[in-house]
Amino acid sequence: MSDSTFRCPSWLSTGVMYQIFPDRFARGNDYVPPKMNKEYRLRDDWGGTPDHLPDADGIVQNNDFFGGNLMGIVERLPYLADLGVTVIYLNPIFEAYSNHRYDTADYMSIDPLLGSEKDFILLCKRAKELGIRILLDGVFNHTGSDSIYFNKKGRYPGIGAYQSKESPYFPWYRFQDYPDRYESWWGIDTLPSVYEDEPSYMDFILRKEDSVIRHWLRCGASGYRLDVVDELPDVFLDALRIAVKSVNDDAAIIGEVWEDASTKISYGQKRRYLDGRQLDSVMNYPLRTGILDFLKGRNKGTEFAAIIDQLKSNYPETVFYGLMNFLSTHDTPRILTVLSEDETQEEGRQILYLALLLWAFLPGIPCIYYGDEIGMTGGKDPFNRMCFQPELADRTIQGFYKRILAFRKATESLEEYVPQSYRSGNANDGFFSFHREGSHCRILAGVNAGDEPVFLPLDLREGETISDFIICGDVSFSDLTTYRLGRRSGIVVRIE
Amino acid sequence: MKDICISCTPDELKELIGQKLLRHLSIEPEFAKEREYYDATCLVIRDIMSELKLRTYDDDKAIPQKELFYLSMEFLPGPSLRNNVFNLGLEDSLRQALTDLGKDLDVLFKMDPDAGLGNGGLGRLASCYLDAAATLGMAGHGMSICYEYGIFKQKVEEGKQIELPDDWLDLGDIWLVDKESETKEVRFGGRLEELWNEAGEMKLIHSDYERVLAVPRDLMITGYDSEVVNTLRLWKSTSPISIDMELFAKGEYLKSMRQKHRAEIISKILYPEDAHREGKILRLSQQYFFISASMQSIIEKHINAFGTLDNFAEKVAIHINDTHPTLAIPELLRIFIDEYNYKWEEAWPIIHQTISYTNHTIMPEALEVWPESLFAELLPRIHSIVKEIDRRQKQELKQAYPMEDELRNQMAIIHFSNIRMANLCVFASKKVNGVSALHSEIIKKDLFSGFYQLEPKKFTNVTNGIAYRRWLCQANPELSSLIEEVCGSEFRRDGDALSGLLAYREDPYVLERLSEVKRSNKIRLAEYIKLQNNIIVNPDSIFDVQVKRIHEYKRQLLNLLHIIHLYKRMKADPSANIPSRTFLFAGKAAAGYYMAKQIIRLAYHLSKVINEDPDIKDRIKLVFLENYSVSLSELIMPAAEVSEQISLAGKEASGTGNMKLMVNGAVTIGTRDGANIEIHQAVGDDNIFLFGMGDQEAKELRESGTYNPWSIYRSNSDIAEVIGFLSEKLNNENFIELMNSLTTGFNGQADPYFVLADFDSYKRSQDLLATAYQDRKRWNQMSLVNIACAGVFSADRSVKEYAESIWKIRPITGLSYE
Repeated sequence: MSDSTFRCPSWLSTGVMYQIFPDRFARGNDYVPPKMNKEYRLRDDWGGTPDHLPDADGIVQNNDFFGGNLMGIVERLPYLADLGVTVIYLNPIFEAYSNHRYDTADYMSIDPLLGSEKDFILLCKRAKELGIRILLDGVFNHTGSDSIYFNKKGRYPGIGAYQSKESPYFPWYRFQDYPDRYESWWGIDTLPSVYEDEPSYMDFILRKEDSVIRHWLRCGASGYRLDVVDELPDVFLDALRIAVKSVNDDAAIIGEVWEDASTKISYGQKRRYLDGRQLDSVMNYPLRTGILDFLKGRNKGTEFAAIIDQLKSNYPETVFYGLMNFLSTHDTPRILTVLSEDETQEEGRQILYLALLLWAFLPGIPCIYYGDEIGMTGGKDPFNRMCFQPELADRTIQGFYKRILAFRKATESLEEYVPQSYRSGNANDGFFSFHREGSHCRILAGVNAGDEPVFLPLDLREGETISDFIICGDVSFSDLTTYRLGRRSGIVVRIE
Repeated sequence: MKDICISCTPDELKELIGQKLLRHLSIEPEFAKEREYYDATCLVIRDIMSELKLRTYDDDKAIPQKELFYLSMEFLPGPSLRNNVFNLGLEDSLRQALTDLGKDLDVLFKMDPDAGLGNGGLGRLASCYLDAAATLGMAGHGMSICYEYGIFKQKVEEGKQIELPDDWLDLGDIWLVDKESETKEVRFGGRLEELWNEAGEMKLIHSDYERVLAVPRDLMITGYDSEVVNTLRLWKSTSPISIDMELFAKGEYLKSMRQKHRAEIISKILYPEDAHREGKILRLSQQYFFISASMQSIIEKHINAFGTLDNFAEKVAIHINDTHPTLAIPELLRIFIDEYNYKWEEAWPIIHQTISYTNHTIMPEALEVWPESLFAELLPRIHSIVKEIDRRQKQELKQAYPMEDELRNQMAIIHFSNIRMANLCVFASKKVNGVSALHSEIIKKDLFSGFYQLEPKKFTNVTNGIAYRRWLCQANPELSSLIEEVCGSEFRRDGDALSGLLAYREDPYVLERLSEVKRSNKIRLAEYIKLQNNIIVNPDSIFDVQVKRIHEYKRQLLNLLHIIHLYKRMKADPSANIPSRTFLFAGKAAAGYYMAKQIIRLAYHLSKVINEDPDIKDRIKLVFLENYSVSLSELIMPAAEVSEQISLAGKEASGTGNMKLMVNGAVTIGTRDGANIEIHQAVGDDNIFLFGMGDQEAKELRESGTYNPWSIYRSNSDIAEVIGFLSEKLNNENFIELMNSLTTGFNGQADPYFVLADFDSYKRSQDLLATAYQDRKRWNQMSLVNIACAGVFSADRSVKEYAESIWKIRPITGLSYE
């Protein structure tokens, strides 16, 4: 059963999203990080290799900080606007022990190393002036063990659940053998899991007048990406939507789901994320997997077409066109690294361009993981979380990003969105094509991942002309209405 | 004219020719044919040159004055007979002598082969400079290879360029003086061993190498009205072993000749295809072959004269014309260290003082780079020396630029196992120059910026120049007579005297005569076109010429697109007031350059379509003249009215065709590129048609990555029409690839030379030009101003600048007029 008035916010089907891992994106001019009362290492070598070796206990501490901060992001907003970015998705920014900050210590404060609430408000304001929204990372399945709420190390003044069963936070946690045995996310004991449906927790996070969610939306955030949404029960998600939309009806809720969200079963239950009462959109993992499988030759073009068709038929239309399309995140190796495996540098780059054509023009909003646009490489974390150094940009890759995003923007300017109707076109083993039809223009895209040349007829209708096109690899006119796509080549054509 | 010739009267010349026929060619003059007369006449002239030469030079000894050796992989001397006869002031006497013998000098001139030892501008420039050095009475010699086959002869059949071998030695041999006794041995391959003596000193022993002999064949170079006759030494390769008897005895006949063939192939042909490894080895072998022989011969002469190399830099200047002769640097080090026991620290400063380098290109694909492995295999000793130069440079750079990794990499001589010749030249040379004001700025700011910051004084500019006497006095006698008539003969000696013409800007007689001379030259060219291409062109139409190598950056395609546009305009509006025009193209495409050949094909088929279209009648004619060469240029330049110099700004280092056309009174339509900028400075805004983006704009557009030719196509209906024309069949031929080069391209990098971006500006400029042409007085004035201001582009001026600021040589005492 779905709600017929359900509309994914329109700003998710236009523009460009940009994901920032805050410690590694930008350090403000003259920024002196405050001294913190915790064990950590403040790095003074921006661009150095992040600590990646386990300590004596076999744990990778993730407690080296390069000092990226919110003001750094503010200073770099013009760069992002120039790139065409309309939404920034920030990895967690709240007080936490580690550099990834998924171990929340205080939901109500910005991590002091990143700045202050004032800085956050300023970031939202300045971004808004440039037409950019800010999306937060909502981490509600667990907190940090070193937090106001659990307070395992006793660093916080109040009484945490770990310290006493009398703690107001005691009912949040899932103790098996108090205090040292408790459920935690993936068994990582710094991330104790919570009972999300515990009323005091729901009140604190969602329902109170000044709940966590409401507070940050009021500070200027435009929505949440929800971490591990599979772990969040329906009752929590239902209430979350009510809380979000009550502050801002146009705010977005995007879930982290690694599979087709419409068929997802968690804990034996079929989930109803997209029935209009929970999420607006999801991270489009099936697309990323599909692109990689197709371009690396593990799947045929026809199989890739079937994956997209499946998403189209399974998802509500409004979600299908508002999917968050990404090629890398802080949880995956960087796309250039993945695509360059077993390839020369040049070939790796060519395949990247093909991936970008698909990423930028298949339904949804393309999301850049910071640095991908300047050709950054890196495998599993923390190597995919290196510092952003625009002066080391690979100019060719950067140029291709700029051109493809400019092309997307030019298309949007004709239609308001990239045309909303999607239809897959001709496909074969190495080839995949699709159409997007609008009222003023249409798009035809073809990607030849194979070695044999393919011909792509435009089938121009009465009065239609080629308005523009963007090419990667070896593409040429074989006559004025047909393109020839050579080996590992692709094109997106806009027809008016 | 000074009395420099030993035998000047017609009778004396007649006598000498008769003797040559009898004694040298064993034939009675009355039975001798043209070929024998040609040989005899050339030998007589050669004797006169030899005699003059011996007045200054002793063959195997250096002279007391400092001498210049100009090293160049290419020279394009063009035909020798007329040039030498003209320079020696013998034309009238010789003509008379031959007439008395019943022969025509012009027939002999036409027989004289065009020594094609170069591809284009670079080689012609080298020859112009030798000519100027001799004219100025300076000791300036050239050194290169005696290619058996020079630049190919071009045929165009049904639009396809066909390359035929140019067997120039058949007739050209007569000009060469073999110096077997000065043969040098050049060593390839083999291995290196270290040998230590008791004193603990190490000596490198090079063994198991292959020996190739280099035999000098000298071409004498005369200057205008000058007693100094210099030498262009051309090395021919041969093997010390003509046949391996042991293999022959075993019946392995082909193998027995192998070493001989391997040696002889080196001087066989100019610029072999270098796309594959075998080809690359040959190219590098050619370079080392002529460099090693040249350096050995220079040093031997020097030692014979002075007994030491300590004063080498005081007596010798060595110039590296583009990077092809770069190996002179390590080869000199090798000889100094290995053969004359100099220490590195002693040899390096001497060699550094001796060497200078001219950069001719900033196009990355044209900058020479050799894979280290290939280099080491072919030239093990030279490789070890280059490695040492590189090691020392890296040390110096680490001190100069400790933090700038990127900059140090750009400047490195060896980088990622590649040897970069330009960086080696810049590092080792005393002076480095570009060839036009703009180009010299670009190399300082971009290409060699790191070097420039360290040693700004190393860099200088010498704008190219031409041997204008060849293109004006020899090729355009009517114009030179006119100039002489109105402002005296001084211009023949001193190009700056051409400015005397400016006083006649408003003189109707001079302007009218100028126009008559042009018309007469146009008729002469029209006859040639009729004969060659069977196309009748109207001598009253504008003769608009683009003659140069075919290359995308030179943008012959822009010119052709504009012709298509004019054609379409005339078809659509037959009454349009467009003056009739003859568009002339000539130029060779490199054998492996696919797009350049497509451009020739388009010119050919477009000419078929337009020339035969009854709607157009005579209003546009398009002619592609095959086999562009020095001699053909001597026919075209005098007849040209419009000079197309339309390369993308920042790409043409200087250009010299622009200067040759200018001195013949053609008006330039061009971009702000190379020497066009200086032509503009010389003639002013009103006497040139400039259009298009500047070099900075082009650079920014390229770097922004935002250039979108398709959007230009969409927004400009003229361009859309022209591109549409290309996409259709033309004379039953498909030109979609040319359209693709402008609209698609790999990774969408279409139209890399911004043809479409400059089209509109070019078209407007062409319209202004057409309007200006219709005002006859104005046009003749423009033409006059161009001639009058061309003096600054004399090679004499260039060579003086080189001599004063780079080579530090002076005219040989007492012999020059200066």
